[in-house]
Parts: sequence; structure tokens; C-alpha cells
Amino acid sequence: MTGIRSSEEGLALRRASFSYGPERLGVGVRDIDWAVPPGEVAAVVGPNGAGKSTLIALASGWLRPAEGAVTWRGRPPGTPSARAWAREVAVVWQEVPADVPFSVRETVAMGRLPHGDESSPEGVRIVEGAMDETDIRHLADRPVSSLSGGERQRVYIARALAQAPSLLILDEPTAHLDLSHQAKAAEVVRNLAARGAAVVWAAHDLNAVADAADRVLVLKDGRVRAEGEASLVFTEEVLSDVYNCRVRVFPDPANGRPRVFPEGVGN
Amino acid sequence: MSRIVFWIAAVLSLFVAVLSGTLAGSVPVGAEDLAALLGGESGDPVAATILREVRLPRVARAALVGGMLSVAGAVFQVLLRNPLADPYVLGVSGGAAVGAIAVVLAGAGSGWTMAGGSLAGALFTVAVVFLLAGARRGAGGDRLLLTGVVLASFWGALVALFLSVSQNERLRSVLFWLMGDLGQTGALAGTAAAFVAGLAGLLVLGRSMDALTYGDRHAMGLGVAVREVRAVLYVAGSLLTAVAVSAAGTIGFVGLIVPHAVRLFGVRSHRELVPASAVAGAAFLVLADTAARTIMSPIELPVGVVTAFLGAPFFLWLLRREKKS
Repeated sequence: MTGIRSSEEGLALRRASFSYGPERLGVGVRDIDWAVPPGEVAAVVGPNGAGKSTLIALASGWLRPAEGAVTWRGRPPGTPSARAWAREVAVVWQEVPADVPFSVRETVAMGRLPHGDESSPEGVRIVEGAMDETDIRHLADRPVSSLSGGERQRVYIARALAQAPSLLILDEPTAHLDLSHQAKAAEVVRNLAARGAAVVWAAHDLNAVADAADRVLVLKDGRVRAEGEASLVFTEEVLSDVYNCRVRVFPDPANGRPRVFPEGVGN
Repeated sequence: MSRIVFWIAAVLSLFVAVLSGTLAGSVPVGAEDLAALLGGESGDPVAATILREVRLPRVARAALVGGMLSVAGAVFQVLLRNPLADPYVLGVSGGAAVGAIAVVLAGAGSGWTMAGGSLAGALFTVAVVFLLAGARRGAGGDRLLLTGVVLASFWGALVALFLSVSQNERLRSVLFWLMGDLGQTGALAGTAAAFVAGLAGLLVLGRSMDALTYGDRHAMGLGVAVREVRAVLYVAGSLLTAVAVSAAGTIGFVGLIVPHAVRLFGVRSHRELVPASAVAGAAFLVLADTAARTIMSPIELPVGVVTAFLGAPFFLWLLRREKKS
């Protein structure tokens, strides 16, 4: 009963499959069953080519599942209209384009596009708030093309926050970020979930996932290998199998959360 | 720079362009003749005839075509996510020209059928550019551009073939038309209607075009119906190019020069860039045509020669700047 409720309230993938066809390089996903309820941060992990980005594309509506279904609050992506969908669902894509003619503020303000209130006082306030949360207020009038990769990444995170989404989807949002901004990004994501949003977060950094995610989906070769709380899913057996190398897992002495280390040459 | 100052400058430059384009020429006409004609007074009858029959229609044609090509350039730059896109460089103008010539060869060369042939050629070219470059899901803009450039030279070869084997007398005059001929006669009502329709459609899509500059995925995430908007842009850009080509032949580089010149004044959102390109493009082509008629007077240069002399170096300068950034 709870399963049905959560799939109607949150994001649900039911036996969702997608393949790129023989001529395309790219791993599809197969038979993904997954539900992300509101208020939770759900991470997607797995090695390169495990299907993380495909899953993100399916959840966001960029790709349609070849089989199965993807729904948010019981509705398929892009419905009832592309604009109405974007009022609820925001995406931080892996690519952070630099070749755009707009400033930081103009870019973040595009997050209000689906709401149609970018020039209203309320819209302006939300945009400023999103820039504060991601620490880019001082860059507001700089052209996006003049920023570093990490600064651009924060701009696109801010734009997604400005959409005030109830579902936020992020594809490796911390790849270009330095240590302090990685921590800040995780905090921003947690705050959003605390306000009731569902968050889907594709990540490589397993230790950050262990800290910030309520649940984890582990993908291998386009299929679900494990699913659940990080402390239960991040075992040496699962991770060594998924990443195809020897992985050590220790509980963090401070909080008991799993800490993951690949076994290097020296160990 | 303040937006208002920019717009005053743009409208003022169009006014100056129209005035100089109306008064300059191998037969001098004074401002008082123009004032007399516009005021409905009886002035010099020769001057009045020249103004009414030659100069004013020509200036109007140049303004419409310049506006259309400039807006089409802005549209293709969004569609391909490439600042070097332009209907001429992409071969869309060439495709439109081949379409029009094919209609003439088939012996059905009236204004409307030529416009239809142009539109078919333009739509076909853009479709081929996208299909060959495999752009179903955001392929690289450089590849699209390169495909268009190759297609443009193919259309050029096809036109050369038509011209060398055809005995059709009408086709001979096509050679001049191909270099841009604003001295044609024929009603402008259809051209003006197409311009207004295209412009109106694009004005509504200004913010969607802005979102598309970040790429298709980003635009979708911001609530743009990407497939539908791209389809409208594709048809609007092709339509504007086709109507411009059937009204005045292939005039190159206008769609490249004008939107970039407008951007240099800090205009970035397409809500403003599209109408500003329309106004600035109108002014630009009227001035270019005035120069083409007067530089070597009484010899009249094809206006495409003037725009190419300006546009080719501008393209190379842009290419260099893009590489650096």
C-alpha cells in the first residue's frame, strides 16, 4: 500500500528500459524499478557506462522509456505541458555550457521562465536567493562565458534552484567543484529535500553520497545491482563487484556512516 | 548602453538610410521633390515619377529583404547553436535560388510559383543539413555549419550547370539576380506579408530562443517544447530566406553581419534581438544598395557584391574571435 502511495506522490520508474540501438555508443538501462518519495535525497551511483545518465534522461523526460513507465506524481514527463512540467521539475545537466551570450544573473533568472515572473519582485527575490545559496552573487553581472567550470556549475545549480522545483534532478553536479563548494552543494540539496522536494542525484563520490543521500540506487551494466540506505548498500562485496576492483568500506568513527576506499597499489 | 538610446539610434539609422537611398542615384532628386510627392503637391513631374516608380519601391524592397535575411540569420544561429550560421553560408539561400530557377526552367516562372520553388529549396536544404549532420539530438554546430557550406557550393555548381546548358533566355537574367538584384519590379505585398507573419511568430518565441542557446536539454528543462519550437524556427527561418531570395536573389552575409552588429550594442535576449535585427537589417541593406548604385555610377553593382565584400572579412574575423574564446 505504501508503495502505491509513494509512487503517486513522488518519482516512480516501473520496469523502465531504454536502449540506444546498435549504432550508438551509450549504455541503456533495463527493467529499472525505483521510487523516490518527496522529502528524500536519492542517489544514483555506478561506474562509467552503468547507465546513470540514461536514468537521469528518463527521469527528466529528455528520453522516453522504450518499455515500462516513468511518472512524477502519477504523470508522465512533459505533461500536461512542457512548461507546467518545468514548474515542478528542474534538471542540472552534466554539461555546463559556456558559449552563451548571457550574464550569470540573466541565466539564473531563466529558472523563472516556466513561472513567467522573472521581472516581478517575487521572481527577482527567488533569483537572488538562489545566487546566495550557491555563492555566486558576486559574479551576478559577469558573462557566463568568462567563468571557470566550477563557477558555471554553480550557476546552473542556481538556475535549477530558481525554478523552485518539487523534483530536482542532478547529473554529477559536483564534478567541477572544489571541496568547500562540494559540501555546500550537498547542503543545498539537503535543504531542498528538507523543504519537501524529492531529489535525484547521480554521483561518483560515494562518500558524499553516504553523507547526503537517504537512499542509493547502485547500477551495473544498466541494471539495478542494489537499492536502499547507503549503510546497507555500500558493502565491500557489492562495490567490489560493481566497480570491478577491490574496495574497502569502513564505518566513519564520527557518525558510523560508510567510508569507501578503492584498494590501491600501495595497500 | 541604455536600451532606449540603442533603439533611437537604430530607428534613426533606418530613417537616414531610407532618405539617402531615396535621394541618391544617377539622376539627382532633391529632398523638396520627395517632400512634394509625400505631401501630395505637384512638384517636378520627372522627379516624382522616378521617386514613385523606381526609388521608393527599390528602397522598400531593400528594407524588407534586409530585415528578413537578418532575422533569418538570428534564427539559424539559434537553431544550429552556432554564431557563424547565416542563410547564405548554410546554403539555404542557394537552395532557394535553385528552387526558383527550376521553376523558371519548367516554364512556370510567375512570382508566386517562384516563391514556392524557393521555399521548397530552402526547406529542403535545412532538412538535408540536419539529416546529414545527424542532428536529431544536438549534434555539434560546427558539423552542421560545415554540411551547410558544402551544400552551398553544391547549389552553386548546380546553378552554373543550369546556366551553361540552358537556352532559356529568361535564365540569362538570372545571373544578375543571383548576385542580388533589388531593381526588380513586381508587387511587394506578398513579401511584406511574409515578413510580418514571420516576425510576429518569432516575437512570441523570443524567450524560448534564449533558452535554446543553452542547448536542447537545457531548454527542455526550462519548459520549452523543444521539438515544436525548433520546427517553428526551422519553417520561419526557411520561409523568410525563401521570400527574400525570390524578391531579390541571393544576397549573402546580411544574416551574419546584422545580428552580430546588434549584439555588439549589448542586445542579447531574442525578444529584443529579433526586432532589432529587423530594423538594423533593413537599414543595412538600404545603405548597401545605395552604395552599390552610386559607388561606380552610372554602373550599378549587384548589391550582393557589396555585402560579400563586407561580410566575408567579417565572417573570418568572427571565426578568429570564436576560436580564441
